[in-house]
Formats: sequence, structure tokens, C-alpha cells
Amino acid sequence: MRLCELGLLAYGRFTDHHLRFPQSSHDFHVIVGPNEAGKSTVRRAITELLFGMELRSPLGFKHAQADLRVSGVLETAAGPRDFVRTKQQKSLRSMAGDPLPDSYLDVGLGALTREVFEQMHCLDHARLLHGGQSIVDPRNSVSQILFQAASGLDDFAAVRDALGERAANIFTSRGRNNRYSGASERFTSAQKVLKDVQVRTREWVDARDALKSAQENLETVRREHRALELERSAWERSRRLAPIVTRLDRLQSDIDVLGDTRDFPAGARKTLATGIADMEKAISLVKTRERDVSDRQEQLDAVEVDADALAHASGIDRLSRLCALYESHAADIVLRRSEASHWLAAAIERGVEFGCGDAEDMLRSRLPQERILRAIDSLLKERGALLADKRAAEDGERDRIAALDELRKELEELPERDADPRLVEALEQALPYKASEARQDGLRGAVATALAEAQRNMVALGRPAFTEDDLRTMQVPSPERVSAMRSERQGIAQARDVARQLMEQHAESASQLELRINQFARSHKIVTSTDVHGARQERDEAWGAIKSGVHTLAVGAPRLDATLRLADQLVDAHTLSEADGASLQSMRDQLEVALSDEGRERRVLEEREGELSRVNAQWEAQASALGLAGLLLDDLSQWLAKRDKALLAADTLEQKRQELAHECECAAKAQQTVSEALTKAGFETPVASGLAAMCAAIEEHLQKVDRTRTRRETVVQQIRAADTALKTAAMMREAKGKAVDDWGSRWNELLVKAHLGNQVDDVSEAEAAIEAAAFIRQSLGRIDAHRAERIQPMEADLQALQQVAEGLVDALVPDQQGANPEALSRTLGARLEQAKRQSLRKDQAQESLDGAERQLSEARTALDQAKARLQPLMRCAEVEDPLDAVPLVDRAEKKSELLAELKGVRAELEASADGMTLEQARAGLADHPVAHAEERMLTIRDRLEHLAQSMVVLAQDELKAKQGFDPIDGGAKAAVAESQKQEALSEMAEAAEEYLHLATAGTLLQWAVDRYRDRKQGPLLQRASAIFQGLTRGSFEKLRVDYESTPPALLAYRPENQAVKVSGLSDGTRDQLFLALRIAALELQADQGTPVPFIADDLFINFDDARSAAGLQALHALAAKTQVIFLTHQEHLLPVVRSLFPEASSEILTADASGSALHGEDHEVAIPAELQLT
Amino acid sequence: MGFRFIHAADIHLDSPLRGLSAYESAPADRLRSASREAFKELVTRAIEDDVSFLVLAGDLYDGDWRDYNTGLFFVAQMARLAKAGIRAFLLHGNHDAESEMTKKLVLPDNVTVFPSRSPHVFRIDDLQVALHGQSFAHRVVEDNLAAAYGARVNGHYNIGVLHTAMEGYVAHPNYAPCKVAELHAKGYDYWALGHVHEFQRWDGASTIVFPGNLQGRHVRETGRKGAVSVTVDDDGHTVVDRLFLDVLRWEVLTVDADGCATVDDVSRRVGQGLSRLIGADDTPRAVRVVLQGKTRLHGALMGNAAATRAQVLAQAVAVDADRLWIEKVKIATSPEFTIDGADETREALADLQSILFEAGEDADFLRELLGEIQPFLNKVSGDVRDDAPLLALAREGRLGDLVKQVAPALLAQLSAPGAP
Repeated sequence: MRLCELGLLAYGRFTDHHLRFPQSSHDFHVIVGPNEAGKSTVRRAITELLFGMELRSPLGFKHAQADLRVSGVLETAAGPRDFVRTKQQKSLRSMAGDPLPDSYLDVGLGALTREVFEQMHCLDHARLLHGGQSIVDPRNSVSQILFQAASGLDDFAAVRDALGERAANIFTSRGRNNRYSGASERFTSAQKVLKDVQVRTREWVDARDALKSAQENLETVRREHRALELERSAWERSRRLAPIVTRLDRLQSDIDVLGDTRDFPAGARKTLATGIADMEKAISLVKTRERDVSDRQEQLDAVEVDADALAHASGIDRLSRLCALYESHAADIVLRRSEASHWLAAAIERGVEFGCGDAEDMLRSRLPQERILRAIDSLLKERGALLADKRAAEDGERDRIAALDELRKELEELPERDADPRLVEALEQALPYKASEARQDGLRGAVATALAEAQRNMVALGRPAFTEDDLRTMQVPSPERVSAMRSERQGIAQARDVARQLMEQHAESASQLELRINQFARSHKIVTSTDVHGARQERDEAWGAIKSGVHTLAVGAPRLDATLRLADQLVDAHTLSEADGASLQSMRDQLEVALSDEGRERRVLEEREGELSRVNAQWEAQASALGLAGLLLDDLSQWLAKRDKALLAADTLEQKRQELAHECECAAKAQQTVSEALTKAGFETPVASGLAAMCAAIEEHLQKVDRTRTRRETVVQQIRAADTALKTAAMMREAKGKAVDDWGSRWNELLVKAHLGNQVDDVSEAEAAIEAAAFIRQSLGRIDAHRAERIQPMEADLQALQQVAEGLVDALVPDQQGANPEALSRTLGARLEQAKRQSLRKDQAQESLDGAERQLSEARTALDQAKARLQPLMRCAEVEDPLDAVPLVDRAEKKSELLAELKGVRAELEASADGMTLEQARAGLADHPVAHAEERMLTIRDRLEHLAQSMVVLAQDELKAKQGFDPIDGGAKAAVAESQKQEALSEMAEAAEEYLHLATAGTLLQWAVDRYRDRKQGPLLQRASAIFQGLTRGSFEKLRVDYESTPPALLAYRPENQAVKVSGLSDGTRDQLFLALRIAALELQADQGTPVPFIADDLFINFDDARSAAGLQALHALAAKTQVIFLTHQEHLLPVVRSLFPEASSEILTADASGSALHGEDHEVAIPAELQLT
Repeated sequence: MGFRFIHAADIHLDSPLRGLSAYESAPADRLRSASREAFKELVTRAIEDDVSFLVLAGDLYDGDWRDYNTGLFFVAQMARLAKAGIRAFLLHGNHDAESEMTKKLVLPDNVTVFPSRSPHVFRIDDLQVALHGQSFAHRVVEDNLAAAYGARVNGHYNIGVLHTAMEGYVAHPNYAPCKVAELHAKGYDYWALGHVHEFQRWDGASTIVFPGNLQGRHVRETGRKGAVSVTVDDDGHTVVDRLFLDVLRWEVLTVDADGCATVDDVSRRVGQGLSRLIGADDTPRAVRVVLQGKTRLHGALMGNAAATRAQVLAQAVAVDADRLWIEKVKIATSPEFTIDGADETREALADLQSILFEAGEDADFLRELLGEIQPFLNKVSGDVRDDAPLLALAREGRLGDLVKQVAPALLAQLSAPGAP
């Protein structure tokens, strides 16, 4: 729908003012006028023309409210609609003033309401601002369209984040606390260890010889030291053993005095005293227990028992139980017999009605058999169903006949026709191009985007002097060469880093060694040879003073003693600190090595830094030759990538242009084909209808033909089915009639068999006879059961009771033959109780006797045990009476104590004699007299001290040699370090693989999701992006939705891919954003449905001139699809309008309410530079 | 007079095990000196079996290995043999021809080395044995050395000792090539060969044997490794018995994940497989675990390979931490379903699939990817080369191929139950 003409007949300040909007290729119309000239009145007039006037209009200031009138001419799909809108009750009128129906405009407006029209199609500056504010509201319809692309991928961000997090655990460009760095450090460490521990042949031989020599020297001194130690031990032993040998001789003498004694076991004295006391107590106890046994035996003999009664105890108990159980049987038997007689009389009474006789025997013989009665009952139940089936079959046959008649009538009314094959073929060819217009628009947008991309990429190179041809012809180094240069530089830098690291490590080691040496010296008291030598001199001076008589022995002895002790202590301490001294020296040697290593690594570091400077200088020269002066080597790859990107963007632009041309050509061919097919098939082809409309018409026609054909086939199939069903219904009716006849025959046969042939006349009498027979059969069964289950068992019980009573009389009381069972039971029960009490008393007496005999036996055993314990001592002493053994035991124990002491002294001697026998010890005492021991030991000690000093020096030599040799004695340290290096390499490889997988997957997922959303974002956002880019003159490149924020948010991207939230845009830019979205939505609507005019009322108030021009360019594209009426007070925009829309109509409104049409050829105005379109 | 000797080759002393990374609980400390331990076993076995002599047919060391300790270790082991009165005949192959140890090490008297200038015959008169051989003079010897070996010594048991690739084993450099028929034609009784790391034997006029290497060093050298014990009876008949002396055995354990409901089920199945593996004998194992089969867990396994490896390691520790060392967990499963259905996520995945496979051809994306991984490539050491296919692709700039390798796993992860 479009507005061809608006007549302001009597409206606001206008009277009979007509605005005409002729159609052209771009349906754009501009109305220019200063403020208060009536632009908003025009916008309001259009709204009220289409949807009616308000009751109290603010525009009734010149004309009376009732006289307000506007007229219009609309162009619709059904032809032109001309009419007048008034404030009368029937506001819609013809030009002649006749009322028109309210539906008169429906063909143009469709479901469009005033609110939607004002919201979507009438945009002034206030609405623009309001719209800008509401963009971010997800409930907004525009936002809903924008955010639809989030569907289906909501949770992939979590996967991407997880991938990124895991990748960061493996490697980050700046961090060191990650898996790869850890493995890399282990690799470096293992490599260093490997370097340190590897051994060359010469080193090994030298170290081995040094160690061997040191060991031999040390062993020589040690041998002499050991010999002197042995001699000193002999003198020391002599001094130690002399008092022990003296004590040993004295003890041996005492033992000899005691002479021979008997050998009693240890503790014999105590055993003997305890045994004598135990034996006396046991004899007394035995006598007491013997008296107890005699008393208990007499009590047992005094008790007597009734054995006969106890022997029949079970019989007496059974008789008592049966008497209690059968007490009521006699009276119950009489009562049950009476009940059976009563039931029999009732049965005979019912049997007489059907001729069964008046006695029980006759009744049983005349009663019909059970199976015959069941057959008769079954036939009676079948009868009703058979009659119902017969009636239903007859009804079914009638229904089938009626249905068949209806189907045949419908078939006659359905026409026979097939689709035109030319239409089908044309439709197939045209369908791929049905949506070609949208694709063409998309491709135009893509061309514009590619152009902008190409320009931006050229700018991004940062080398304005370069043209595209320069880039293509430029002789740049290959990626391999770049990589090699970088690798070389990186290798040198890494070597420099390693050297620096090693230098720092050596410095750190040296520092730690210094600290350790200081701490070691403080914490260990190391006595030097000088200390020892000084102490000895002092000792010798003291001894010399005594020997020379300067001091007497009494005066000089304390000093001599003190100096002796000091010298000894220092020698001991010196010997003990021998190892500590060697360790300290070793640490000092290590410190020297570490300082030397540090110096060496420092020199390496300086060399590497020199190499690095040289490589940097080489690159700078090469970059200048390429015209890339100032570019860093590390940035070269990135610059080359940008160059590739720029060339690729140029290629992409050319490709998009070719695609657009191809699409346009194919769509035109398809439309021509369809149009010809429609004409041949007899359809009218409207001039204005497009390919989509023609395809829709063909599709609708083909669907109608197809539906008719399908219905005919269905009805034919239904007729065949109905015919078959009718035949089946007739057969069913005949079968049901025959079943009823068969039932009558079987009925008559059964009555004869039941002896009722002459007794019953109809079905009801037969039912009564069957009921009576069932009653009689039930009564007879009940009588039989009563006799068998109740009466006969009670009679048997009474007979068994009598037999039990007779048996007990014969055994226990033969003089009471024939006695009543109950009386007999009471007599025998009392007798049995008495016998049981006697038996209990006898058992208790027997138990008491057994206990007394057991205690007597235990007392005798205790006496025997006491005697047995004394027997070994008695045999040993060879006496009969235990009291005679006491003095013998005392003497033997005295001798035993002396022998034990002697044994202790011998043990002491053995422990102190260094493994010598007593004889060897006595010989040693003879060879080393105690009197000379002190002096000799002093001499030996001096010699030992001298040797100890030599050993300290030699031990240090050996330790140093050993420290040099130990790491290179064929050990596997290097092999282990190499293994660790390989393990670290494996871990680095694993980490590298995993990192590359995760980093690639993460980047890939992000890119894929972005691209997915780009594709799914729908044409609205794509088109809005292009319009917004134009409106902002390239300040923003695209619009995207951030689906991962909650709620999803719209973002505008600057060319450098910087995202800006809507809230971060300036007011003007936000207006432009909303305008872009609105124009894109209107274009989309125009593509999908009926176009509706768009009224733009002073939209560009906040736009500068350049952006206003860009806004007009955006409206240029919209005007190709729907009518645009542009109201503005900015007259200087007219030249731009004219350049964009040469055919556009223009109208100038003046403050005096007169207007005049403007035309381009009449008003040539130069376009100011700031309005030039790009 | 009958006798027995041991024939070994390709010892590669102190050559490290490759491809194993030391995780916590791995028996790393115990197995780092595997080649030494295996060699000790060889010497111990020779002493216990009281063999007459030992033949080492090349590659005792690795050529670029310079630590003198290795030579000292070898000397110490030879000294053990000397103490037991056992001689050793040593021939250098391509790996130890130029080794520092070969040139400078002073060997004990019981060790005899074949010269490299020309073939030489050593005789053991009391056993009536003649050993023919020639060491490699340098690393690459492409001449047929066997052709110049001398004629058999009559009245002796003749042993040819040779380091050769035989008739072109593709897995090994084609050094000192010769043919089986040619060796038979020499008329020797036994050919003690080296160079090929798998056991091989040919019978005929001569008994020709590759004993294989003494100790497997990486996952391509799986199965039992060791030497051979050769018994010669009084009539000169030869009986060859394999000796399995390796202290760590390489295995590939293939586990089918088909039918497993959870990743735990898969790891339990791996645990069962590992139990069976070490149940066979007491030798520790270095195992590559390969998960295969069509399973709905494909995505879960591929999506978090590190977690899958951790589960397998846990199983290895639970089964026997002292005897199992997991080399790698390779996930070679395939998905159980295809992406279809009306579900919103499935539709998205179907679209995403086509986009993922476009990425490998998209220049913009590949540049973005390069920017992402370049810092890592700058950092990663040049020594990392073995068994890192993705790294190789990245280094060669084949990022499109890198994407093609990664994309299926990513898609599987996104399609996994419970994902994304």
C-alpha cells in the first residue's frame, strides 16, 4: 500500500492544500519547512486519514471541529482507493460525500492498527530517543528477533571455558607455575645434572690413582697406630686384672673349708617347711569327711516308694485327659440325630410336587442326574443371547445398504482432472530462485562489507605508501626463512638465558657454601694440631720442673695432673674432629669451584649478549631494505599475516561482485520461464507480480488438483469396502436364525431325559423343577455330611475311653471291675501323686550321700599330694622323717652361695681379660707388672698422639680423593639423569600435545560458535549492521549480540574489533543505532508482507551534516521497497536528496501555509563538501 | 666335546627408555637403569649356567653416549665373567663403532674384540671353536662384510659373528647387507647376528639367529626380549633356547569400550586388562593403553583425555604400582550415534559440524589460531620431537591439518551425553 495523494481540505492551518506523491523507482518524498510550517500536521493528517480523527482535535483552531476534513488516494493490491475522512459519525466518505463501509480500507491496511502504525511507521525524534533506550530490553520485539540465534548453543561457553582453563593449566605465556614449565624445568635440571656427572676417561684414571695413593698412605699409619694401641691395651689390662685375681683366690679358699655337702635343689629349705605344714592339715580334714559319709547313708536307707503306681503313670494321665475331653458326647449325639430327621422331612415334601415319592429311598432314586440339570440350565441362559444376535444381524444388514448408497452418490459428484505438466516443470525450475531478491540484497551487503574490509586491511598494514600491487610484487622472506631467523635469534636468547641462570645458580651455590662454612665452623669445636702441640709443651714443662727438682712432687703433681688431663682431652677432641676438619676443608674447596664456575658462566653470558646484538643489527638492515624499517623481527610474521589478509580481502571483494551478478542473471531467467508457463496454461499474469507471487499461484493450483484426485481414490476404495461388508452382513443374519432353531430341538430332548417330559409345559415350569431338584440334592448332601462328620466320630470316642479304663482296673485295682471311668480316674490319680512325692525324697537323700563321698576323696588326695611334694627332699637327705632333713639342707645352701659369688668373679675376670684365660691373665700380669704400667702408658700415649695427627692429614687426603672418585666409579648417575631427561621430554611432549589440542579446540569452538551465530542471527542484524556502519561513517563496523551475558546484550564493534555496549554509545550514535534497527526491520517487513509508508519526521536533529547524509543514504535503500515520506526543517539537505533521488517529489511548506513543489531541474543547488556521500 | 655359549646383541647400555613420563607412583626410580639391570641379568645367567663364552654381536653402547661410567660398568660386568673363567667376544656395530668408550676403554683380559680393518678368526683350542667376525669401522657400513669372511676352519665348530640388516629390514638401516643363502653357503655352524631388534631364526646348513635386543626401550619394541643360549653337543648339533632377560617389558593393551555405560566402567575394564597382563609373569610392564570400539562414551573420553589418563593411572596404581608404568593412553574409540533428530541442540551440532570442518580452510581463522598458539611454539623446546604429531603439524605450519585432527574430538565432546 502507498499513499498517492493527501488532501488537507480543512485541517489545522491548511485549506484545500494537496500533497502529491508520484511513484518512481525509489518511492521517496521530501517535505521541507521551517518550524511551525505544518510538518507535524502533515504527519498527523496521514495517521488520521487512515485510522480516523480524534473526538477533540487540537487542530480545530481555524476550522470548526465538525468541519475538519482530509482526503486521500491510496494505491492497493485491489486498485486505487480515494476517499475523504471527516469527523462525522460515518467518518469514511467518498469524494462525493457518500458514506463508505468501514472495511473499505482493509485491502490496503490489512491487520495494521493505529498503534502499530505510529510505533513502527511514524518515527520522529522523540520516538527515536525512546526506541534507543529500549533496545537492550529482551522483551522488546526487536531484541527477540536479535537474540534468537542463541538457541541451541547456550551451554557451549562452559565447554570453551573448561578448554581454556585446562589449556592455561598446561601453558600460559607469562606464567611459570604450569605443567609445561614444570616439565621444562625438570628437563633443564636433568640436562645440567647430566653435564655435571658425565665422566671422561682421563678424569677417571687420575681420580682412581689419587684415591689409591691416599688409601695406601693412610693404611701404613693406621697399622702402626693399631700396634701401639695393642701394647697400651696390655698395660691397661694388667692394671685392671690384678685386684680381680686376688678376690678369686680368697673365695676358693672359703669353699674348700666347707668340704662335701649333699646336693639339694634350689629353695629346698622353704619347700621342706611348707610341706610339713600342708601334711598336718590334710590328715585332720580326712577324719572329718569320713564322719559325714556315715551319717548320709543312714538317711537314705530310711525312705520307701510305690513302684506300681509310678509304672502306670502314663495310663492314669491318659484316662484323666479322655474323661475331660469326651464329657459332653452323650448329650450331643441325641441332638444331632434330631436335626438330620428334620432336614429329610423338608426334602420329601418338595419331591412329592414332581412325583418323587414320600420315602428317603424313593426320593434318592427319582431325583434327575446333576449333568442333565446343568445342561437344561445352560440352554436357558443361551436363549436370550441367540434371540438378540438374530435381531442385531438384521439391523446391520439394513445399515450397510444405506452407507453404500451415500458413497456412490458422492463419487458421481467429484470431477476428474490432472495437473498441467508445463506448470509443474516451470515451478521446479523457478523454486531455487524464489528467495533470490533477499539473496541479492545479502550479496550487495557482502560486496559493501568486502570493500570496507579490503580498505581496512590496507590501513591495518600501517604502511600507507604501499599499494595492492606493491604488496603482490613485494619480495618478502619465506615463512621458513622467517622462522629460521627467529629460531636463530631465539636460540641465542635462550642460550643467554641459560647462561644467566647458570651464573645465578653458581653464585647462589657459592653464597650458600660460604654460609654453610661459617655455620659449620661455629657449630663444631675443631681442635687443631697447634692447640694439641701447645698443651703438650705445657705438660712437658710441668714434668720437667718435677724431674729437675724446681718443684717437689707434692707441689708439682697437681699442675702435672692438670696439664696431663688437658693434653689428653685435646688429643681426643682432635682425633674426634678429624672428620669435621676434613669436611670443612672439603666445603672450602667446593666454594672455590663454585666461584670459578660463576666466573666462567659470566663470560659465556657476555658472549651471548654480543651475538644477540649482532643478529638484531643484521635484521634492522634487512628490514630497511624491504621498506619495513622499524619493524621488529618478532612482529614480521604478524605483518606478513596482515599482508596476506589484505590480499585475501581484495580477492574476496572480487569474488562477491561476481556472485552478485550471477544471482541477478539466474533470477531473471527463472521469472521469464514461469511467466511463459502461466500464459500457456491460461493464467493471467499481473504485470507487477514477482517471481515469488507467480510460484505461489502455481503451487496453490497444483495443490487443489491434487486434493480432488486424492479424494476420488479414497471414495472408490470406500465403496469397494462397503460392498464387501454388505455381503458379510447378509450371511450373518442367516446364521443367527438357524442357531435359534437348533436351540428348540436340544431343549425338548433334555426335558425327556430329566423325567419332566410330562411334568412341565413351558420354560418357567422347567426352571421351577430345576430349582426344586437342586434343593433336594442340597438337603440330602447336608444330611449325609452330618451323619459322617458329627454323629459317628463321637460314638467312636466313647468306645475308646471305656477300653482304657478296663486296662487300668486289671493292672492296679482288680477288685473294682466295671467301675465308672470318671470315678476310677479320680482314685488312681490320688494314688499316683503320693508315689511321686516318696520318689522325690529318696533322690534328695542319694544326692547328699554322693556329695559327702566326693569331699572325702578330695581330702585324701590332698594328703597324698603333700607327702609326694616332700618325697624328693627325703630321698636326697636319705631320712624317713622330714624333720631330720632340716640341718642337712642349711649347710648345703651356704656352700651354694659361695660358689655363686665365685662364679661372678670369674665372669668379671672373663669380661675384663679381653678373651684371655686365667692362666694367660696371670702370665700377662707377670709380663706387665702393675708397678710399671703408668709410666709405660704415658710414653705410648705420646706416640699415639703423634700418629693421630698424621692420620688426620691423611684422612683429609683420602676423603678429598674419595669425593673426587665416588661419582665416577661406574655408577649410573648419568644414565639416570638421561632417563629423567627423557621422562621430562615425554612429559613436555604430552603437555605440548594436550595444550595444542585444547588451545586449538578452544579457539575453534569460539570461532565456530561465532560463525554459527553470524549465520543464524537473521537478516535483520546483518542489514542493521550495514546501515549502522553507514550511519556512523565507518566508526562502527558491525553489530553483534553477546549471548553469554544475562540477559543477552547488543554490542557495537569498532573496526579494530573493540566491542562497545549500547550504554557506552553517545546519544547521537544511539539514535543512529535505533534508526538502523528500525530501517532494517521495515525492509524486512516490506520483503515479507504488504509494504506500508514510512513517515520520518525531523529524524536528523542530533545528526551532523555528514551523518544526516548517511541517514538519507540508508533511507534510499528503504525507499526501493516501500514509500518514504521525509519531513525536515533542514533545507540544506535538499541537494543531497536530489543527488540520491533524482525522481523524488519535493514540497516546501512555508509559514503562511502555502506550499510549492520543488523539482531537481528547477532548483540546482551545489552539495556542500561535508554532505558529499562516500 | 660339547659346550654352551650365550649370544646377545644390541645391548645399548645406558640408552634411556623413551616415551615414559614419571607420574607419581610410577616405578621410575627402579627402572631408569633397565639396560644395566638386563645386562647384569645376562652376566649372572652366563655364570649360573657355566657357559664357555659369551658373544656380543654389536651395539653394546649408543654412539653419542660419552659417559665413561658406562664403560666402567661394562668392565665391572666383564670382571664378574673373568672371575668365573668365562671369555667374551665383542663385535662393534653401527652404534658403538665411533663411541668414545670403544676407542679408549681398557678391557679385562677375558674380553676379545673383533677388529674393524678386516675379518678375523679367533680360535678356542680346548673347545675346538672358531669365531669369525669383523667390527664396524664407522657408523655407516654399506658393504657386505660377510662376503669377506674366511672359509670354515675344519675340525672346529665355526661361528660367524656379524652386525647386519640382512636382506633389508625396513625398520632398521640397511647396514652390512647380505642374504640368508649367502650365510648358509659359508658353511659355518652358527651365525651370531646383531642389529635387528626382533628375534629371528633360520635353520638349514647353518643356524642363523638374531637374538633381538636385550631390553626393549620404547613402545615399538614390545614383547619379550633377551638373548639366546646355544648348546652344542659332542656331535656338533646345535640347540638354541631363548633367554628372556628384560627387566621391563613393553606392551600394548587394547581395551574395547563397547558396552560400557560409564567412564568408570571403561577404567575398570582397563584394570582387568592390566591385571591379566602382569598375571602372566613377574616382569614389570610399560604399557600403552589403547581404548577402542564404538561407544556412546566416545565424547566423554575424547573431551577430557587428561582425566581419562588419570583414571587409567589410578587403575595401574591399584593393580600393581611397582610393576606397571603407563606409557600413554590412546583414545581410538568411535561414536555410537550420528548427529540427527529434531532436538534443538542436535540441530545446532549438525550446523556446527559443517562449520568446524570449514575452519581448516579458513585463512582468517588459521591466522587467529596461529596467534593463539605462537607463544607456545616460541617457548616449546626443540628437543621435543618424538611422538608429538600435533606439535609437528604446528611447527610445519600445517594448521589446517591440525584443525582436522582436533575437530572430530571437539565435536564428539560437544555431542557427549551430559554435554555440552
